[in-house]
Amino acid sequence: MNRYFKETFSSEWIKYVAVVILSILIMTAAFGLYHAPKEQEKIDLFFAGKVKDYSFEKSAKMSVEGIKKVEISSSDPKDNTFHHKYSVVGLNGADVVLVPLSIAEKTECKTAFYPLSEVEDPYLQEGQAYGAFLPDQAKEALSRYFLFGEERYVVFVVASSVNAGRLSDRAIDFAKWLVRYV
Amino acid sequence: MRLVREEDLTRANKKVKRDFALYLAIACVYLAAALLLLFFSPDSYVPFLIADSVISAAFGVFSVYFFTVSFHLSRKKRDRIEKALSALPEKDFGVYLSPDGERTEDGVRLVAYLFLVRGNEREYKSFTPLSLKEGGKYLIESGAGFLLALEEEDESLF
Repeated sequence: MNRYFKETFSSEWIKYVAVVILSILIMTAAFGLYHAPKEQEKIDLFFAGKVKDYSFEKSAKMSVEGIKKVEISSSDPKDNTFHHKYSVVGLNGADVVLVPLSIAEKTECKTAFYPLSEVEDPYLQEGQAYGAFLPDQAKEALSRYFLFGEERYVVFVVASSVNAGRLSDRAIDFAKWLVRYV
Repeated sequence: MRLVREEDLTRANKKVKRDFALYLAIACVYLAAALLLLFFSPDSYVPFLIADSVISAAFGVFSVYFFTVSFHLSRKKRDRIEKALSALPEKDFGVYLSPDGERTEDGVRLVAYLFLVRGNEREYKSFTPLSLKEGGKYLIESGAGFLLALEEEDESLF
């Protein structure tokens, strides 16, 4: 048997190498898939503006218990594609949006956002609190990561988010954490 | 002297089945270990991933070896025995001339012997080495070129 193995190894060695590589690749994929954050363990934040530093995604993971991943998407309101991106990515794909007041005023909050309660400085539309104003202190602290304009910014929780009371409340907790950020 | 019997085929068949059953048992143990490592891995799973990759690679290498060497040889030997026993048996008187070296067919090692049969040199293969008398006369029973039985014959018959 050993003799046959030695005789055939010169032509068969590639199978041994291939199977080792394949094993590593399959295991890496399996672990990656198994440990991939579920919908309720992920927060997508849409920012209306330019992002200076995406390392905020890493530090924001510790914000709320149970969040394993934070992803930021953004679009500058000065861009032509902003409104399209805001409505598709922001209002339908994200969990939390952070937008300047001028954008918030043009958004129909009743259909787009989840009503936020127990916030210090709520943003009201038609008498209902839908968002929270970002305090100056939080805005300054977050300016390390985000390029803010002069106007005030508002944090909203997207109504279609699974983390807005459906699978979890993590989007609501995250939004409240943002306004308290120092 | 009977060289190849039905029992040899039965034994060869059993070995093939036993080898495969052993492989399946090892595969089950590997699968259980791999799945346990995966499902019980914590969020910082890199050590578990490394361990699982190592046992997967080891099982993969073992599988390649098993199917290309070990199991392959068991099956091929079984097939050769089956071929020898299922072929139409031939019986001839022959004079043993000399060994004709080793042969390898699909990895199965065989020993070849030259006989003088009806005035012609003829090669027969055997699964095991034999002690034959050079110049000795034998009644040869063969199938598909394999020696199935050999009986040393009385000189007077020649």
